[in-house]
Amino acid sequence: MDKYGAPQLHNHSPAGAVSREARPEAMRERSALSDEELIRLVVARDVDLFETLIQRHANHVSRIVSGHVPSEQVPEVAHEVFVKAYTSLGTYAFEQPFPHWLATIAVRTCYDYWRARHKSEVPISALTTDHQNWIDRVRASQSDEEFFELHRQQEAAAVLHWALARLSPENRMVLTLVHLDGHSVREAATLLGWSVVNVKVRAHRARQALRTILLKER
Amino acid sequence: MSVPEDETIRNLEHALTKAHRERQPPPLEQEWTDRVMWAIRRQEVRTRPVSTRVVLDRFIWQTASAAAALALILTLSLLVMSMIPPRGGISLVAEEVESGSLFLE
Repeated sequence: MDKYGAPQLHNHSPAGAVSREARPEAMRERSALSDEELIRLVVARDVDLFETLIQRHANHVSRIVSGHVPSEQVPEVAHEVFVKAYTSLGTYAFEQPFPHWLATIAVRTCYDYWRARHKSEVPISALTTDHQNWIDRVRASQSDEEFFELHRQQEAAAVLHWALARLSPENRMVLTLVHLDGHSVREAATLLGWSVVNVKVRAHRARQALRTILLKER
Repeated sequence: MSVPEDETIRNLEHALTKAHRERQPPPLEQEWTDRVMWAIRRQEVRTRPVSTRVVLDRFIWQTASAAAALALILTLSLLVMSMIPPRGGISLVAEEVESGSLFLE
């Protein structure tokens, strides 16, 4: 199973599910249903059952979305993902596992998020002295211990956020999926709905663009 | 000792990749789930196909109070009109018309 497969833990005991004292029996019955059964019931107009699907896959979607958008935007974008999933649930053909289908919607929603931001030309924050120092220290690090200590620091996330903000939405999505998440070009193409060739070319260009951005900060 | 350029950029990429993979996604609480469900239910109500019978029922109930008020006003006005005696002028003219001969002799 790839990174976007649902964690085994969540299949039958939904993470984040808060038991409601008023209807614990109903909650237990819902939890016992598989994703496919729940989807069929939701499509047959039992809207309330969609809540179980949300509880079951919220962490999965949150993990994907947090890899693409700033952490404070995750709840809002994840919200949009589930609303979109509900709206297009009738088109789910049961050919791929539900978490994979949901991952596709999540990735495309993140892409839409960056396209909208790119169009509105939101100003990009500048790199602080601390961040520049962090880059210099990583470049100079020669021991593994030093390196492992450096990647854990808050500056790493801030520098990554700063560098990705300088890429186009297309390059940003491809770079995150292929180089940071470690997806194959084919998987990234499926998630984005693009051709394999397009993703391959963009992945190369995006990496070069990121290197140029990082090298300029010297 | 200086580190070669290729190696420094690889170090940097590696550090950023590790930072990305070790991110902690924010937890989505039940309150968040409730908000999503609220939005979905609202959307469901808006997009649900409505049958003609439901539309007719809704129309009848929405206009029922106005129709009842109109019927009450009409009934009251008819009642009031029926209680007012006919005015003298009109009855005199009516009598004159009635008493006159229809054909001249």
